[in-house]
Amino acid sequence: MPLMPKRTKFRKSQRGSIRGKATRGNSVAFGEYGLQALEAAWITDRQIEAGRVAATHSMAREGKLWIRIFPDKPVSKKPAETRMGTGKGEPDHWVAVVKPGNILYEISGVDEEFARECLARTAHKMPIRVRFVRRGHKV
Amino acid sequence: MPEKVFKANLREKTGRRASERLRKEGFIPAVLYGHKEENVHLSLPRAEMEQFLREGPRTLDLEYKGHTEKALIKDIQYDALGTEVIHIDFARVALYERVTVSVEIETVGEPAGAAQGGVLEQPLHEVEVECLASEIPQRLEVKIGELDIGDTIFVKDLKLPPGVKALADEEQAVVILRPPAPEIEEVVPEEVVAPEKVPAEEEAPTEVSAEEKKRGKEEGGS
Repeated sequence: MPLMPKRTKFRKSQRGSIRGKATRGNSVAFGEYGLQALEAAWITDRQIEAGRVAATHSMAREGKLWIRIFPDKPVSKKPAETRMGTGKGEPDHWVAVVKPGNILYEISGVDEEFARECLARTAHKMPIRVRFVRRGHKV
Repeated sequence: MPEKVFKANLREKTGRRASERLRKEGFIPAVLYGHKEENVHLSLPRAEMEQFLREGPRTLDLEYKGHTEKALIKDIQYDALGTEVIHIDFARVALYERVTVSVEIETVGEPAGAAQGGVLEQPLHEVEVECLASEIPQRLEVKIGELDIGDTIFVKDLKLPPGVKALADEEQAVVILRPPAPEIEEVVPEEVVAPEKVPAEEEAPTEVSAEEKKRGKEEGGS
């Protein structure tokens, strides 16, 4: 099942621009360790799924994985060899808008070394620079 | 235990720009409030403060304008990447006062059920407690060595130091040892189909070809 919303209010959305850093979803909330984005990007549903598969394969039924981002933005595309004009293209795929600081994945129930290994495999599937982070106790 | 005394400077200018300037100069902007006294805007040396915060303290002595006040670290603001401290809130506190703080829960040991493939889950990483300002526990340790698959440790099972009262729901789970996840064969995800996608054949090409024909005729005629 591809990652996409069940239903949306509008079929197409404007592109927008990614400004600033993440002020929400920027700390490890569910697991012990996480993967944090260091750049802004649109992460596609396929990339998110590839990251999940890479992590779960290496985890081999140990621990638990959380995906903290969801592709809720439709991206439209014109068919190949089509002339410009005649309106906006049709929805092609879905993306998650990610800002620097956003936590992408979280993991728990495994030791740190193993978590680093699993999330490194996920990091290879990401189109941006990411880093491994630990849960920090906030006062 | 004697508290660490920090020499703080008074901040005359407040606001974003002044705070940013302070941060560039190697200070952390802070505020001290409480006990129905006036708020005081302070700045603290960054390197020294960050080193101190790594030890996980809760109270400290702040020295400014020639006098010292005991303060509770109420809030620490971090930047978007969670690395740099950008602001600290201090609340005036007396050692005999009861305060509400959140304390980290730390698991100790390896669960017995882990050998059978049990997966340790910790839904609660910190718990709100009420205690004397002088007796705030650094962390609460939970021994999980005897945990078997399906066992749960609740807030009511936490061993709290004397004088410390947990404010969270007693029936809230702290640690659960879940049975191993069933083996599921990975299904190759199907081609992503966008909702209500119109097939490409119905698009402009027919129109274009008609136009091209016209143009071709005109070119041929002239």
